Amino acid sequence: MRLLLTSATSDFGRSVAGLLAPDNDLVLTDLSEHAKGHEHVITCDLGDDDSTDRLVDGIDGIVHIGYGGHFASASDLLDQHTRCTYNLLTAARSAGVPRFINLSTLKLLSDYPENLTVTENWRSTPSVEPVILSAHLSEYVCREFGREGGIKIANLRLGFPLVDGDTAAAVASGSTAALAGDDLRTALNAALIADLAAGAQSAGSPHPASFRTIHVQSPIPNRRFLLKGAASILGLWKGQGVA
Amino acid sequence: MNILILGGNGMLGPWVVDALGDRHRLRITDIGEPPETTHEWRQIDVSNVDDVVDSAEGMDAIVNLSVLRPHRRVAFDVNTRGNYNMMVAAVTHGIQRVINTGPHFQLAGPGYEDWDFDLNPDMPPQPGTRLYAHTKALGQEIDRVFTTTHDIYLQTLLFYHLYDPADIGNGPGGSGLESLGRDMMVPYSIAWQDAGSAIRCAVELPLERLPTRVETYMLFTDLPHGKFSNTKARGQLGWQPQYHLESLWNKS
Repeated sequence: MRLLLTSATSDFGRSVAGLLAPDNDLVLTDLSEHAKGHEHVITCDLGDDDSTDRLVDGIDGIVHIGYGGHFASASDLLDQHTRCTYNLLTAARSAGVPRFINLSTLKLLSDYPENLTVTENWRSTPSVEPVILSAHLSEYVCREFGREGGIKIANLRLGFPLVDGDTAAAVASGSTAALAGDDLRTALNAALIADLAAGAQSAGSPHPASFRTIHVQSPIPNRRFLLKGAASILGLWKGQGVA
Repeated sequence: MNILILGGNGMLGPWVVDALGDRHRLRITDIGEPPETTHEWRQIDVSNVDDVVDSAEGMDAIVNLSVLRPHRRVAFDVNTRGNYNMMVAAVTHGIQRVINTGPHFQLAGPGYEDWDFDLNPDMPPQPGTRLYAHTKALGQEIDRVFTTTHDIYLQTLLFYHLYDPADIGNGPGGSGLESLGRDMMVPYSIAWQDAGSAIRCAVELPLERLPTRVETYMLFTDLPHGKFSNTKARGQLGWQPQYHLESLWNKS
């Protein structure tokens, strides 16, 4: 699958690229202020001009860093996560890109006490901290595109921290919300092809779901967040107490 | 009350100044040229956080009338980031009262409007992806999030069609025939004068009478269509429309 990855020169972007590369044909892109000196990265400021249209031409799926990319000022973060996301989705929808994955964060739900059974149906509780607020707004933009259809959007809220290795590494991290790189790779590859209407109320309607939020953390025994979406939509970890 | 008005020299601004001017001390700001006014005036860009924070010093309330529609980058700068800057200014100066404005479809977008009736201001927002609605809705969401962590009361007034009654036959010398049916596609209309008075009602409503820190109102005159509801604006703000714009929907 030919995939476009945004914020590709950020630390998190490089990690995601490393996870996707074995199974996909990656096209890396970043904003001009970050892409300098990276010869394999396409410079694009995700404006509303035809450079964004060219960027998405011939792409099968887009993996968009909606949280955890480059450090920036509050103003720049808000701009990148609202306007740039809007421009990218506008271009992608127009070009007929079938799949868009927004990588968000489960920190949007971290205000809830750990004893609560938090699923995708719980309202997020963002703070005004710019990194978190921007992630929330990136989701907001994606949700409205999903509401209108024309592109299938999987909003993956990722666990924290991201640790190298497999589920055992997540357990060893001591964090109940940890996400192992191997588990993220599994979830990403599943989200690229999953039927997003699976298990949705609108599954049988003429306009089935085109936006789904899915919580993705490692399926560790005492995990903080329930993984119902990962099981019902992505078909993951059903044998590990996830349902 | 000392009131900062952002976007004070646009379409709605002069009507708000008329409604508030003899009752409060106003600091009018806009990116454009200064109005003819006896009130304090500053030329600022709402997308510049320093401009907005500086302008808010010494104020008791902020009224945001700023808006930019067709240009994509500037629409996000003004309608989305401008709201962030406004809330930063409110936090910086301890301003509790923030009044935001926008189009009704930042809340009731196509997902509602094409299908439903009795649409009201307490529905979950569904702005869709049209630039104007989308960018204003993002600004509104930023404002809402700020109220969850700061002692700020946000009142949002939603408008759509705004008319001078004298131009549509509801005032002296006018004929309504040319306007008949203009209000049928989106029956959500108000006179400029009533829009100004609604903002005055919001400004002067004691904060302790607000049920929550985030209250939204649909502002339009009494219309027979049943598409939208202005009941909350009438009840909570104590606002009464003075112009009924009958010539928009009445054949005789």
